[in-house]
Amino acid sequence: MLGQILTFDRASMADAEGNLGVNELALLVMLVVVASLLSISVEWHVAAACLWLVHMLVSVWLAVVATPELAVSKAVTGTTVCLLLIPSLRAFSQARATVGTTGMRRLVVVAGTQATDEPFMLVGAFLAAAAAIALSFAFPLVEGASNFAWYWLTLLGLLLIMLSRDIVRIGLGLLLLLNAVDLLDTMVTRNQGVTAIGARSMVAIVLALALSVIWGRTTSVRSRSEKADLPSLTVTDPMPPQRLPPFGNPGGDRYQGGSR
Amino acid sequence: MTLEALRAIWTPSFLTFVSPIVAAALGGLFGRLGRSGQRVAALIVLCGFSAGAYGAWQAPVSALTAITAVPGSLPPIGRLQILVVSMGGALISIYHVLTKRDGEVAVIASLVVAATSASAFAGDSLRVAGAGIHLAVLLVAMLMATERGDWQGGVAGTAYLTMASIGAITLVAGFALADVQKVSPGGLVTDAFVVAVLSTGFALSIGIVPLYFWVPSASQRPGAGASMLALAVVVPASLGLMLATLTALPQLSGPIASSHLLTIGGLLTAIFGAVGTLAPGRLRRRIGYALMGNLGAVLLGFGTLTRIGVAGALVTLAHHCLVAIVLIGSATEIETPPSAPDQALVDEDGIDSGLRLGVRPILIAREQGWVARGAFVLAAIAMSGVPPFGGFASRWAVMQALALSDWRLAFALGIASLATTYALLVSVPGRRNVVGSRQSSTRTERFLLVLSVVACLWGFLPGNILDVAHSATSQLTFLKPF
Repeated sequence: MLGQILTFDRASMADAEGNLGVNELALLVMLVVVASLLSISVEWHVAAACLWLVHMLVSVWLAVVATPELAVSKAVTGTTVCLLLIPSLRAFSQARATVGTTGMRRLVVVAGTQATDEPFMLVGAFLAAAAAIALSFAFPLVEGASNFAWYWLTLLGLLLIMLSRDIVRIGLGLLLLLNAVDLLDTMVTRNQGVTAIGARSMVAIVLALALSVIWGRTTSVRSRSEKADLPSLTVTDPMPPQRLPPFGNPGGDRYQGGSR
Repeated sequence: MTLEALRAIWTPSFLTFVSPIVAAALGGLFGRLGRSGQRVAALIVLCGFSAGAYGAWQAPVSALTAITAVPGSLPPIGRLQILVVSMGGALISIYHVLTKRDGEVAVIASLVVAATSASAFAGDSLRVAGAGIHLAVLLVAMLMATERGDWQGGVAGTAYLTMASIGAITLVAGFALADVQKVSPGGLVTDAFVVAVLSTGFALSIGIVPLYFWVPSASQRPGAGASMLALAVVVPASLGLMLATLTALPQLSGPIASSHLLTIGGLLTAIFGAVGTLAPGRLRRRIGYALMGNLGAVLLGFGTLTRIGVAGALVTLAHHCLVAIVLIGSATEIETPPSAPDQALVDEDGIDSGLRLGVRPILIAREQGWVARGAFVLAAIAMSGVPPFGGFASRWAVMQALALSDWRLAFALGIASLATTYALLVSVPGRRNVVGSRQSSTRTERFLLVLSVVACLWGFLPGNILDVAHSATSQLTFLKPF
């Protein structure tokens, strides 16, 4: 059945098979395994390595089905993205270690995942794979190309964004989603201009930069407030909510602390 | 040889791209040299904005259908977009310098303007245009997370980054699917499907009901500069991309017209924005809903698919940019908690009296607070479109276009606008909330007051403004010829 999933452009396939000798089924299986591992990974080493591998596999894929320029661009972009994310991923890992030793439980929500999340995400990844197979059979939107790959990455990315409780996985989901749409776009337009390739690479790199900044900022703010033994939500909240009158303040400031 | 090469690339288009980026780099460099360095940085950034706007004005104009044939040319709508975005970036930078707050607002504003300018220049290369908007979104999200330095900025930045990024990624997917539909018209991908995907992307990027999730958080939690950039610069640029999309993919205007998608979305956004503004909440959160409702009027104008309606919507959009800056700025000045030296001015009696009143002592009204309140009130009235103030120039055109199709739409928009203005006016904290006072930097408030007066006087130049917008919209081929 997996063979039927792979319906590529035969002309480019034959060329690629002759020159590169890349087995597309093996690429697809590796992509599924690595992306699944990324969705359930807790350790930052594993997450960074999986993210880099996803980019590399997509790059090899593009070398087979599209142009070498696109493949090189994807490889360089993926490496840059991972290099940008590694420091903040490591900072989160250290924050999680601090949670275990000093009992800063609030960091859990931001800095790490709970044990119950892993099997849940694993089941979700399997469901996404099944859905991607079904969709690629029922709705092959791009004719003459493998729809499974981008369906799979899209569903896994959306799954990570929708179901995750920590911002690291949400960010990883966004990166997967970006890869999926890149793949779809490349399958539709094989020979893209330099401007389009550069713009997409720039978006991926700036997205990684933004995620790195936001992760780092959130960790530092949380750690600061916890170390100072300050309730992190009371910076602008000097008055308990129960002392507020229910009505009578048209300024609307009676809900100052309630909108979080 | 070198000089000739430099002259060859030194075109107005090049100036539009490069000057904001160079200004951002120099501004970032000077911004690290203390207070005076920040002033120099702001001056450089303003020069960059001016040069970019000049370049956009001098760039060769081409018809939208022939953009690819004339490299470096701008469609008239793109020129308007760059001018509005440059104006917004310049005003935000000036505001930020006047407030004497730390941060990289001016530098990020430059980069955002450069990204949105690239989007306007991309013309019918929609993927590049979408990438430009996505870059702007990412830059603003970074600023949201870092501007204030507290946890709320991180929350707002995460929400904005997630939702707006999904929107931008969905847009690229929609552009790819539109190509699929072009290649195989009878296939699985239909025009309606492409419209659905693109609508989702635009709704997430712009903040249209029901996919408006990031708007309240982005208007309330981050610093003023990031909120202004998100709501007064990136949103108009995204709407410019919407017009470019409809121009490059004219086959989509049929399903949009038959399904009344823009009209329904605009009406829902206007009504929901009014309801959200009426609901209790922080002042800046209410402003977020009010600005969202104002965008409903823009969408309704677009939804008429007529020249007069779209021209009115464009003028409303430029006015929206100005009003958003004034509203968010003045609300920030009203709501800003006192800094450490100012807290000494809040005596215990003041706090006790505040607690007796049931008012959080976080709202410290200022001795000169009336200036910020005045700016806020004027901007709120200008946004309503009540004659002869502010938005009347643009709202009149939108109302006329709506009345030609269905007068009930115009009536509903008018009611929603008035309700929004009423809600904004009653949401201004009164003097009875005062539990202390402090000196304030009145230069900021005076600047906002001047801007609010300009927003009010906007309505007295209807002919000139509408002429520019109308001549630009006459190039849009998907519009009805009136």
